[in-house]
Amino acid sequence: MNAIELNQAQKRYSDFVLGPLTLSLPSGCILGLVGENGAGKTTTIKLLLNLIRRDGGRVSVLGKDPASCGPGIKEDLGVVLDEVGFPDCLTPAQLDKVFRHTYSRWDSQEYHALLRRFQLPQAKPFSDFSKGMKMKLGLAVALSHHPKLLILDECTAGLDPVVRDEVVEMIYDFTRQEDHSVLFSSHIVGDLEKLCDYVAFLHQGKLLLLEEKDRLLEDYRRISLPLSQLEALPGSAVLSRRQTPYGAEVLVKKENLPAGFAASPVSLEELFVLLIKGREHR
Amino acid sequence: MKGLLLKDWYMICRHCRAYLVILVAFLGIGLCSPEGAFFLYYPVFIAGSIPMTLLSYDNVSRWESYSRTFPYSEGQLVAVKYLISLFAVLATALVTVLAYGAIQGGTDWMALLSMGCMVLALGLLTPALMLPWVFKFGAEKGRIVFYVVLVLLMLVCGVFVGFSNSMEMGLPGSFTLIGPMTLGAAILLFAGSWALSVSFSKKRQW
Repeated sequence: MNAIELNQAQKRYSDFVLGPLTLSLPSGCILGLVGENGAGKTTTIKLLLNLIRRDGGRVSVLGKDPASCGPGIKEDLGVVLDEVGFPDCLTPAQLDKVFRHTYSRWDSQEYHALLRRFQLPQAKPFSDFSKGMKMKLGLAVALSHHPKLLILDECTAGLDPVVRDEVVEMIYDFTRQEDHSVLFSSHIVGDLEKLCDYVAFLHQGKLLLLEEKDRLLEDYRRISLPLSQLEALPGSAVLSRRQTPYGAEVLVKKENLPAGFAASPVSLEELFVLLIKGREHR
Repeated sequence: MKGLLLKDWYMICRHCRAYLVILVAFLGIGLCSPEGAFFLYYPVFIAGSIPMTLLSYDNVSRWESYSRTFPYSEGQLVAVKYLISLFAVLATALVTVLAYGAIQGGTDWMALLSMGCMVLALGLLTPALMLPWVFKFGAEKGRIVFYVVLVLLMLVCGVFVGFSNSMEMGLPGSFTLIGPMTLGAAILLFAGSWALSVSFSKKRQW
């Protein structure tokens, strides 16, 4: 079963159109949604959470249409939005009481264990938390009712590397249970590279690529070469390229790579940048 | 819904302490001053606007969109604000009437009942007129629409006052039908407002 399915899903604003978008997240996997700011990541997540109305297509979360299935499905979702939306005056201890009466499977012991793990104070108001602490508290809440699907929107943006690493580790722990799935949107591609099974690239509301991460890293290669040699590379092999006065970086598919060219493995970040920049330079 | 009520209770305890001071101060002035009717009615008006204050905080903290990811229906998310306004208005009206009765000697129960009806009606009017617009347009724009509606209501009230003078009947004590009728109208308006807010909230995008 797929934890998430979008089939030709579309959302139109006056100045932005998302989709038609078709993608799926198999149950038990982690899908990284990558895209520059304004690419449509948050809009996609809002469609999945039914925070906005879709203008076309079908959406399914844990096998149900979020627009028509009622709030019960949200018992199985753990959500962290780009800004953690707790009221400023509430403390983690008060949030425990609030969510004990919100989720039927709320686990106070688990919540307090996570607070201890992240060294979050119980009695301090949310307004006094740093950005990293806020995000960790958001994750603690999202995980303490034993959800099946975690939806994280830019949850590592603006965090220092140490906190980011802790967050990534926490997500990794969550996916140790085989029926747990994660949709993780970010423009920090390095975090996704550590975690994801699948990667979807969004650009200007359109899906550029959806592929297994290992396959992406295996199938694509990067060639750095002087401009004089660029012409020798067959156009059919070039997926994308970025030129500077000093040379060019070219993205190629490994199977189309002609003999005689030395290619190096490509990281997700390089792949992402080359795909986007290459399109802009066309 | 208990979780939502608890969250709002924590917020009231933190952000609405000033209302208690206003309640005591205005009741004091209203009860001591011979022309203090305005001061007597003002606390219940303020109590009725507590949900709007809470919604403004929810908007600033982004709770209003975050709470849509929890297992609550749109109806429950709206209901909690109406219930809070109802509790706040009932409690404030009770305190106002009891304090007024204590100062006046509390002998004319019919006058107190009539006054209680008017105080309650006034208290329910604020959330009834304001909440649908806040749920439709958000806290900022909703407040502006409320003021426009309030001006229109004042005009309607001008007509109503003329009508109400003809409703004073010779019932026991100082009792008139104006209070119960106004309260009845306010309750109907409150119920209609609640339904309208649920409808607006379901259509809103977060």
